Amino acid sequence: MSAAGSRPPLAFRLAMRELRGGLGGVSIFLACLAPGTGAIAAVNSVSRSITDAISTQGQSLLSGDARFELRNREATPEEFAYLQSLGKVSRSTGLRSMARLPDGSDQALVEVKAVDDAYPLYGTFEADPNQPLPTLLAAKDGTYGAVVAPLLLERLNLKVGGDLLLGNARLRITGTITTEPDAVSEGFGFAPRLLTSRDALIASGLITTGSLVEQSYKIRMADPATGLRNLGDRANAAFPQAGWSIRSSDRAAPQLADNVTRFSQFLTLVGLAALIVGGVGVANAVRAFLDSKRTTIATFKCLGAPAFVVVLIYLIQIAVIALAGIAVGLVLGAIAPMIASRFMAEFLPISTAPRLYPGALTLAALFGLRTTRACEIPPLGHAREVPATALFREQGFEARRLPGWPYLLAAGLLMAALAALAIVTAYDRFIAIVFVVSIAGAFVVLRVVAAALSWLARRSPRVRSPALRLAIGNIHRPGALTSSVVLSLGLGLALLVTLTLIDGNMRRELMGRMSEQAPNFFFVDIQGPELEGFRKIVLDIDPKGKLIEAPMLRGRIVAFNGEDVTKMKVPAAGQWVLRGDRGIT
Amino acid sequence: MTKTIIELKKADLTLGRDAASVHVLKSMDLSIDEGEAVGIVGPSGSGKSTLLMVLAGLERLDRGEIHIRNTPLHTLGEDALADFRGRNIGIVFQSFHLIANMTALENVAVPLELANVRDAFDIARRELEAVGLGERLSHYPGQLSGGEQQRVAIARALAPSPAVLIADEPTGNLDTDTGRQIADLLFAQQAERGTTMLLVTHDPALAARCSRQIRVRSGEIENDSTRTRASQAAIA
Repeated sequence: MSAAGSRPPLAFRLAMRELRGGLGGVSIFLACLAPGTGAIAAVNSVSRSITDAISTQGQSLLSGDARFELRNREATPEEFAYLQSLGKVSRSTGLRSMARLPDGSDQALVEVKAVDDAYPLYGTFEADPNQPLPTLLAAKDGTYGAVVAPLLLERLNLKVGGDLLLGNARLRITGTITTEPDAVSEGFGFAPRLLTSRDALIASGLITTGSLVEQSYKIRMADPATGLRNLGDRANAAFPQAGWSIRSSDRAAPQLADNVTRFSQFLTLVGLAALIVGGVGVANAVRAFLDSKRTTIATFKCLGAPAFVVVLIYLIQIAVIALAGIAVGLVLGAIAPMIASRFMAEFLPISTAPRLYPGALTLAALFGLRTTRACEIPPLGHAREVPATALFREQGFEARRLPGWPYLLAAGLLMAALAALAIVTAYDRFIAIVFVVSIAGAFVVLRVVAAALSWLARRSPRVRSPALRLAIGNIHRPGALTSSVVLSLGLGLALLVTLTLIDGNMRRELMGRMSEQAPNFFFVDIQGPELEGFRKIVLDIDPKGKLIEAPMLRGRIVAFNGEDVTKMKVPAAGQWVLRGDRGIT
Repeated sequence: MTKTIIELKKADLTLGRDAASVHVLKSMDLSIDEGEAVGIVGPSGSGKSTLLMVLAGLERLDRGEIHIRNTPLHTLGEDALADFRGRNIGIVFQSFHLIANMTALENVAVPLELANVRDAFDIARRELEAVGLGERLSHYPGQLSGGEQQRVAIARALAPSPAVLIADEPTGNLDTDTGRQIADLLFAQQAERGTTMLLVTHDPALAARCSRQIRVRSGEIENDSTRTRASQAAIA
């Protein structure tokens, strides 16, 4: 048997034997790796749990296999007949309105949703008390039933059994909403939900010409796979002027899914930045670990171990320690969706089954491993150069020099692989490239700062204070930690400053502009005949107030610069403009 | 008839750089026969330890040649040198340098495993029994006394049956009694196995136990007892 053939297992055996002393002194190593890896694993696992739930629970989230949405008008009899030909139809109407207490003492904005008896076609609507929805919404003595979000009860200081006025209709609150299966697909509401019957909405008198309402027609198909095929094309071909927005259950909540993915990418980059800052700590921890092993390394060499076996022994040991750190991070990431689902349940009516997301965990492990490998190679290069002769001289080891070029090359390639992974897996590659270039730039700048600091310390005049003299000497002496400390602190602070600036910019964008330009109040949906009365009310309340009026109508953009928008390639970020009606002033 | 096992020809070595450089070995010639026990003495900084490092293949000559068992060490690459060292040279250090997280048995087995010896642990056990530590196989270095640690180090150095045993101040860190016991053990094992031994020491009594003594000063051989005896014999 050749010696070369037996070396990897021998190196492994020796590495494991040497690790028997425990992982003492490498807690910093673990602390550097686990949080960054954990953050990436957690962010991506939670993100995938949401997007998976959206894609697998599409029927429930949409409350149908398909949804046709019309703004401010109901489907014509021909259109409705066409929809009925596709499957069982459930109609619902949504609008924003004020709900008032019967004595007029208080009122609150509500997101009204009026449903028929077929609702929901998929999923389960749950209320407290848990009674069938038709029972909860049933009319009794001219009062219609309604179930509301608990928040509305808080705002109006009401209880179940209390009454509300919606337009001209009187509603009795028969329960609070626990689960509204299709809430996510209808976008985030600005106000608490009020769910009632279509009869109640008609009785309210809120649906008149010009009312801003959304008419939804949800369809349950006998054979969704066939029925959904080219559904949009077929429906638009049959009714080219309908202007309906069509959504199918395979993309029940595209905006939410896109936002979750986009946000998770941002957080992944933050996690990666944390990992890279931790990487500097990893490099220091590996260096300290290998420094503590120099006598053993020299002993191995004296006993006949070739340099590559020595490197292999410590490569394996560091891999074991790194895997422990990464494993801790992955465990945190793996349980994150389960913890997050408890908090998300309040905001997102999707059930995320507790399971592992191998893709997310693999990505985090890859980031962790590549960071470790890139940061450990230079110290390993130093370990290879440890002179065995130091054991004879019984003296310290020589000051550290740059490791050999193969180690520098390997470290450079691993850094490039890490950057490539960050870019390839990013949602927005341009942002990822900017991130990678910024990190590389920060590295260069901080190294230059560290070198300048050492240079200044070396050339500083001799001071009389011994403490100060030692302190200055420690900045530039061989083996000084100046470079590591400047890199670690600089990168960490750069990350914090970046996050703070992003937060500050977003706040300023929202709050600053609002304070300068935004009106105190914004009223919509005022019909022509109501306008004079509205002006009078405003003047009565604040005679010096400024009222700006703008006529508004709803319409769709059908052409842009003379080109049919349906034939244009519109970037994802701007597609919302062409989706359905837009307010035009 | 004795056979030359180590031959140093015009060995020259300078350590350090620029102003800090020291000419440690100055065109040194040395020839050592198989089975000899050579005591190398001299003042601190005279080049004794450097000479050992060169003989162990751990330090490269600037000029000159070194042959051990007819192998020209000065021509070998780093890994070939390591392999040669593992099979032919055993080293005992002043500070033992056992691997702290390995048992006595595992410490002794390491050079055998590195040399890919199949029954490494059986041999290691026999070596430890030979140095009187048959009951301490599973003890870690921290659980052993200084003398016991040096016994383990001697067993480790002798386990691959090296042709050359190099000992750098082997009793330097031990009390007088323990030092004597270790010296007894070293010389007994050397005699029993017929190993060539080179021993660096500051202790004249220990050097006197060697069959040959070499005094080094300023990188040169100041006195070699073999040559002295040969010239005395020639005069007689």
